[in-house]
Amino acid sequence: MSATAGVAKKGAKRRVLYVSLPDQPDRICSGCETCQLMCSLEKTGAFNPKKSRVKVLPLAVGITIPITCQQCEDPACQKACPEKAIVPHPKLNLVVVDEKKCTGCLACVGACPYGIMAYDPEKKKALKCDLCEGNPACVQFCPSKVLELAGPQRSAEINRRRFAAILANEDTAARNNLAGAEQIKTLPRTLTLLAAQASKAITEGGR
Amino acid sequence: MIVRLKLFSPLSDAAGASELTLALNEPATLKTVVDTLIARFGEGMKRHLYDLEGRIIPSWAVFLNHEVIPLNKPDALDTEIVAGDELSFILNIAGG
Amino acid sequence: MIMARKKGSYAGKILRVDLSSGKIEKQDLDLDFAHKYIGGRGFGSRVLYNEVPPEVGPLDPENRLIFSPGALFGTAVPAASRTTATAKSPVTEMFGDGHSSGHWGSLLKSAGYDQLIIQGAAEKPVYLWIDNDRVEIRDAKHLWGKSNMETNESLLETHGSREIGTLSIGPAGEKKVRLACIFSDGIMGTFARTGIGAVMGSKNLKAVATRGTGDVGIVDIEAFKRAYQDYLQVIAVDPYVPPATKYGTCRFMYHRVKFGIHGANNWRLGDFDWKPLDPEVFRSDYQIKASACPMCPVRCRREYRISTGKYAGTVTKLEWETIARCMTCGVNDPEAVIYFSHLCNQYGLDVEGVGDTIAFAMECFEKGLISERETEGLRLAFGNSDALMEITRKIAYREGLGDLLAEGSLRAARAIGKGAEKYAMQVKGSEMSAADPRGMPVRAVSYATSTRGSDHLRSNPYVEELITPDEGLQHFGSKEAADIFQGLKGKGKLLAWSENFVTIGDLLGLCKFAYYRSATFGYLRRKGVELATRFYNACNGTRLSEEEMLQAGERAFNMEKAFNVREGAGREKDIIPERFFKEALAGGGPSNGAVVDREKFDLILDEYYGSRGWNEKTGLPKKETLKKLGLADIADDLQKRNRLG
Repeated sequence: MSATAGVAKKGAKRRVLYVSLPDQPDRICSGCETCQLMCSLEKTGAFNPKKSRVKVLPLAVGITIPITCQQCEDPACQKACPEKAIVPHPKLNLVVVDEKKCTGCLACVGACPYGIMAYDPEKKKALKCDLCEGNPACVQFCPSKVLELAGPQRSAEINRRRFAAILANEDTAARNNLAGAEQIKTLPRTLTLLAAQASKAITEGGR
Repeated sequence: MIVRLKLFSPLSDAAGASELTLALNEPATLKTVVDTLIARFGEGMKRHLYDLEGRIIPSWAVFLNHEVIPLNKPDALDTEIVAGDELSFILNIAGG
Repeated sequence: MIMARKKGSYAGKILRVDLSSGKIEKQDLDLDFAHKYIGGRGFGSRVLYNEVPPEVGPLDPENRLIFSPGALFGTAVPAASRTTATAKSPVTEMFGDGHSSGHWGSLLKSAGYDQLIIQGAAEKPVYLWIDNDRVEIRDAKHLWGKSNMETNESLLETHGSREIGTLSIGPAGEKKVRLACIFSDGIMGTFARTGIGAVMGSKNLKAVATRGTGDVGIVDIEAFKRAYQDYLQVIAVDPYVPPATKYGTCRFMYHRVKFGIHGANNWRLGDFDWKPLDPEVFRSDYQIKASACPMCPVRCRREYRISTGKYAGTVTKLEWETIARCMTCGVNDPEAVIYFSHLCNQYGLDVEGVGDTIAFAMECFEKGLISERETEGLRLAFGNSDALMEITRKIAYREGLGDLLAEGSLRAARAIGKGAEKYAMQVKGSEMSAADPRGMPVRAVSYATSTRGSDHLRSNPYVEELITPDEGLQHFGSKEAADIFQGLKGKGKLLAWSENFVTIGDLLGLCKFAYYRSATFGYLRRKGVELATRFYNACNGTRLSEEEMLQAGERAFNMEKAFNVREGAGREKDIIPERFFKEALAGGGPSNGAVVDREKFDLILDEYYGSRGWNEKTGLPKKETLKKLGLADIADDLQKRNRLG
């Protein structure tokens, strides 16, 4: 096992992504939260959204977003752990929680810039997405098909389309003086904007 | 001959339109209309007209001009269609 | 070896709160009870029968307010997210319940409880805070008067988390408006009918807030996953589903139009200028979100926003019945419909009860039974949407004429007199729902037989819309059962079966649109009986057969019937408004010119009672029927009161 900081390279980095595309306005998170329960079922054998590694956030009326572990290149969770309990997965290119070493101190929970480290209140252990050994339950069971296990090229494609939508939105807003534009017409772009702002915050130093 | 169709979801989704004209050979029946729709629009249309056992889905009510022909009647598909007829396919499922 | 029975997806406890004494009690859930009554409506109806005798009035402290999540709520069974609220109804003065989606029910189960029973009444406004095993009755002075959204927000803030569930009443429930309802999680879902919001208000209970962090268990994960995939396969081909996903419940408009059964202008017109309310209009001009109830793949909830005009800024949810009841009031402006829904959501009012009651008042106004003196200058005419909003507000706050209308159309009619009762479109006191039954005999009877007053969801006679004549013969004894307009034989049996069938959904917490509607009888039974039973067995490690599950539905229905019969209701209450028998429908569809044929109605009702094992003439349950369903104690109770068939 490599002793270098970060993760030993074992295949391309993959993560579960929320794939809401501005040109497919019907393909959007419906807020059904099936992903949460299927995650906890897969990982714990019972239904408990608190133990889910994917979280659905209602942001405002009309907007729910599933937040997933981004399988960071330089994981803040691993850096924050005082027990060195966050370790490379034996097969996949990601880190996981070693429950034997985890003391439930919650440092990783606070450090994750996406707020996606979960916590088992009964066992007092941190919980992290491990892509279900390569066949994520959330992706399998999402009825709206907005979660995807994506490698670098698919991730790039999605980011490209989102960025283009932001540019188009700014373009349109400038042309039509749509400051305070109705949420109805710009909802898909609003989602994209929120996602872009979230990722901007992370790359600018993590919040 | 030409007949005009009004479709609602999910048939309109499969057809990509909610109003259609069909050119049919005479003599034509309701079955001709159904078969033509499937021939033209494929699986997306077929799965909502015929069930998994290959039977016509009974809860379709076809409004032929102003008459209603529920497709659960055994001879419904034999209904004669003539030039200029207007048909609407509506799911006969009320509820609220 | 006797295997220990597993708790499965039951939480394991029943929580009882007495608001008069402040006593809080927890009882273990008996698995015999659980596997017999299943959950949801089954639990609620049993406890109501046990604990609320005829001497107790609906607004008395001794009435129970019972919340029972469906047995599968809290699991990932598709569309299993419904909870039942049961109480003696202020509007029917007999059995009452409501069913809602939302989050709260699963939080109750995660907190460790399969049922919450509330009795007594607090001296001043309180709310209940359930935090896993910590249960407190707290002061609600700061919440009293708030709308449902405000109450939900305030509770989320107080308890420092967005991961709690809430139930609340709005100002209408506080004022004990008989048309008041209870909301779940702000305006996420509503326990709409039978005025149970007034029961909650009579207990001075403003809200219930719940936090739960426990597991909801499951016994056989592989069986669950197989059933899940099979379910997805059926809905992939069922033509009922895509319009639901595309339009939400607005979709029912096209059917009403074609069949000419709007119920417009207080159930006089089957034809109406519906175009402004086209589902496409709602979808393209107002829809901001197509959302889903928890775990549901159909995604038929809608959120709407009005951006311009006099209702600009309104953001709310609405369902079909709001659109339908606005047409009952002659209103066809989509923005007025959305705003009316918003008002009812915030005040906590049942749109059906209120819509029909206002339509009743509009007809009285039209016919001169009430005048601008009673309406305080309001021109209460059909189509006057400003008047609709103003009178809705007055009903919520019991002001002026609103105080009378807050009693529901039947009581208001009795107070007005002068023959007003014939304009009150209600069954057993509860206002009409869904669509016009004229020309369709079983539809008519189904409104009459529902145990909680007019209710299409309770009786769900739509089986007749999707069976073939051969299936009619095979399952209900006659090919006629498949003929909606002309059929007679087999219809009573069909109705009884349909009622038992759809009740399964209420026991398990399954949404009717996801399981109890379909396009073929095969798909319907596949979803609503076979898969429902497989899901229940997978989650609980039980081995109920499909027949036993249907019987559990029959059991719940019989308990409710017994409750009503104990209250003195007999065949005379299984009737629909006179208008449907006497006045021909003025509409543009196949039912144009039709009435409900009284003779057919009675023949179907006779067959229905017979097939239910009730006395064919009186409709009273027979002893053998109740005993066969494991309700011998109820049979004895009714026998003592001379109320057996």
